[in-house]
Amino acid sequence: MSAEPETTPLAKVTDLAVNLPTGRKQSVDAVRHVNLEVFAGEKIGIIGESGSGKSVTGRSIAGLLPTSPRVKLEGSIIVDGEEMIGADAAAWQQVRTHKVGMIFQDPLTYLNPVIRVGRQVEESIAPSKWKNRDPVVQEKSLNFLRLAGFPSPTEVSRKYPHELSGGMRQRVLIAIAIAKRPRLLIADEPTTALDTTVQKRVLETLATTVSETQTSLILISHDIGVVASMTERIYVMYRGRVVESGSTSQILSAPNHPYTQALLRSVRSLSEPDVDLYSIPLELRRKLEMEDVA
Amino acid sequence: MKAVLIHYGKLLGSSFLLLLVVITILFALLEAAPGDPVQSLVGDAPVSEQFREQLVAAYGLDRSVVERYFIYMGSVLTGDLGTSFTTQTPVLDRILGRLGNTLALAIPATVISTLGGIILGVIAARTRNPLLDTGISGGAVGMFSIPNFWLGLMLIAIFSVQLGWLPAQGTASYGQSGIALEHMVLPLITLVTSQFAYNIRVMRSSMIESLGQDFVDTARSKGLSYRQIVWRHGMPNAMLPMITITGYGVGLILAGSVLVERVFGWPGMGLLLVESINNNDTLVVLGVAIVITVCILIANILTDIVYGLADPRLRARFRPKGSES
Amino acid sequence: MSHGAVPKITQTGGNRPKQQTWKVYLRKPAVVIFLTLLVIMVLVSFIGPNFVGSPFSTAHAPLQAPGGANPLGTDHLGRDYLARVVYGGRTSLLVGFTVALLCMTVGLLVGGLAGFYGGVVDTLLVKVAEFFQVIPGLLLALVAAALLGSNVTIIIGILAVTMWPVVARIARAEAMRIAELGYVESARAAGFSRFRIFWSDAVPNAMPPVLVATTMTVGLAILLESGLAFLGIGDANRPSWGALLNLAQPYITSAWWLAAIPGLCIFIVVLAVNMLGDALNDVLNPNIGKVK
Repeated sequence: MSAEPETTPLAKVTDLAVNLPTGRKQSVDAVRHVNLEVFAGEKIGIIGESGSGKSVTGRSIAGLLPTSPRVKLEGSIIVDGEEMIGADAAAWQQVRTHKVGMIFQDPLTYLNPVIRVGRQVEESIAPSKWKNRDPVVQEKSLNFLRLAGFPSPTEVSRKYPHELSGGMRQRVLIAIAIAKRPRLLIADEPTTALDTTVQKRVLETLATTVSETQTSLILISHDIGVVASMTERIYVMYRGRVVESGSTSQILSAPNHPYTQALLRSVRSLSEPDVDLYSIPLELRRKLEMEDVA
Repeated sequence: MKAVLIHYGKLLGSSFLLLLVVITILFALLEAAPGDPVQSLVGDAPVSEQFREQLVAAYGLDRSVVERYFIYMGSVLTGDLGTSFTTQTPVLDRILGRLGNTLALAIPATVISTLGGIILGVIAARTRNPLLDTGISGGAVGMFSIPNFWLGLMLIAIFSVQLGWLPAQGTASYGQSGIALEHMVLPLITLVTSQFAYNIRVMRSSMIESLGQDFVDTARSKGLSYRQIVWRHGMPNAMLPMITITGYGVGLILAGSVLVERVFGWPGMGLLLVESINNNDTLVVLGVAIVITVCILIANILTDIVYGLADPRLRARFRPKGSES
Repeated sequence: MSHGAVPKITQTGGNRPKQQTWKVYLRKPAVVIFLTLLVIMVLVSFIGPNFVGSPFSTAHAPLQAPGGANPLGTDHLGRDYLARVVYGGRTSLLVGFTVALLCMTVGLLVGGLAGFYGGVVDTLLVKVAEFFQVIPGLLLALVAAALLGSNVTIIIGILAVTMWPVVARIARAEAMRIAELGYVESARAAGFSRFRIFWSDAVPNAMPPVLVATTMTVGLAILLESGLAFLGIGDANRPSWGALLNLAQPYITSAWWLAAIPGLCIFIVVLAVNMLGDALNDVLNPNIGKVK
């Protein structure tokens, strides 16, 4: 439970629809009529299978959809009181520089391979001080690396991404995302590419940094376990829509939507020995598809 | 540190091996050449009986192929490329006398084609104007479809014959020594064109690929402007393939300079090669081929060093893309 | 209407998308223009010799400007230049297409087998390809032709030897990709011989990129041949466009068209071939929306 009285949300998405090009003439409705809000200091989760539109939703809020003019956005995204749909590049740049940070799935490809780690963190703190490096900024970047779980940040800051392990790279991405002190952090499958043991430690790091900096968090994952342990509220997405939302405990204990029920059952069947192996039945998918068309 | 030493050791080794292969191919061609081996060595010049015996002894023509091969290899590797029959001077001296003129064109040509290719390639890659992109890319295809010697002839016809603006032949005005700048203009344009065009294409696709990488999203999420993303993140990564291409480009430019030197009567190695082919001065022909090979290998080693400095993942390129563990 | 982009795995009916690819290709304006140009040049070069006079007859006044009795003028010996250009085209195009065909065949077989089976042949191919990437073909061809003599067959042979590794490298990459796909293993388990899989899957799949490389080879071979001929290394009995340029150089001050016309012919053919290859590449590897 968030201590703050719930007034206006930090970010509010209303009736969002995103259409992405997939080929020369084809396109896909990746997100359809999604409503979502996150309050200051709140941690929410978006769960869903791949292709459910959860990542596209996250990227829409962070302004990181492909720049192609064929990408079509409709509805409303309000970040910190400002309407961002139809906003110009400068306004988006403001949001990305100060307000919304993003952590991506694959820690290797999302770091620039030819630039030292420290510099990549510094760039996030002060994008304009690239040519003449500022010692103050350098000092700050070391602090953020320490916050992201590196006991000896000086050493790490001199390394190139390929010299680090997967877990360390993910911590660097966390440091980059928090270094600009955003109000909202969007983590898109931040631990999917990592080993289970490393996963746990990175999640702990993420949890502590977010609460220490009092940042709101949107955690996007297909892994219910990861989302359950980190968030207060959950949105369940399927085929581009939010099919169910509610507090984490309610969703886990008493899911309403048949898809959520099936999803939870299939997850339990993997971890609990007395539940038979279960995967979301095709009939359910067909039924949901029919409802969609209707 | 050790890995780096091993890498450069391997590089030197493979370069040397490549030189041996080239020498072997040249020897094989010499053996395969039709006609009297002595005549094919000295060309059309009349050979006295005494000179013939001298040659037979010097090149071991009375010995077996294998022995002759090792004799040839040994003398080439010790820097002895034989004697040119037209001038009766050592082949190496003749070639080195011309090397400077060739490099005087080849080095600026490499620099211009690389820098120009980078600039236009980046413009084509980052422009949002499809017409400009198509124009640059299509123009590049046009440029490397022009036979460069013909381009040279046409430039002479226009700028030397019709307009009289620039000289058509030689390195300097008649009777002058050294290289005059206005004599360099047309040969340089001719030599640069196709490599320049090729570099534009490589840089364009390399930049597009680089700007499509995931780390560009990270850069965007930091709130960088498009300009900053292109120069800070796109450029350093897009440059890596360019470095390799520039290395190969030196070889292509040196080969192309044979034609360009012939068109402009530019007294470099290439013209020497053509003259020697016409005079059947075989040892000079082989010698030029060897010296050009050595130049190319040096350029490749330099390229590799630059690449090592530019890419911290020195060894990563020996693995297939994206299989970093 | 299907939403998800479900790739249709069709082993037998795989012709449909291919036909569509060709349709898209042939509808591109650049393809229409340059294919027409190329066809005209080919027709003129191979059928034209039947309609023009002898390229060796010195019956006319020397160095006549184009127009009049000789549409393209005459050369320094009074030979009809139209006839010489048309015959020259036959040699140039013959060399270009033959070399490309040889490179395609050898490259597809050697590259494909090396990539598919791996092993020593593969290692060797990589080394050979690397060698020809470092040492320019023009240089080797020049020395080889100078030493071995220079009739059309030898020139074609030399050019093919220096140029096939480019095609082989591309065929190799494609064959390697195919060999790593799961269905090759399952087809083997089902009792098909590996070679049959190579023949029925690897070769057809490697074809599109190999075709792109082959078209580029046509252009490069014509350029290299004309370069050699310009240096005086060529078949004296069958002067190509490059040889005409060689003869034209001394008259650049007085009869510039002698150099302009054959060079323009080379340029048009090479440009057409490169543009066609480029467009083919675009159709086969569309890269839309890749920039973030």
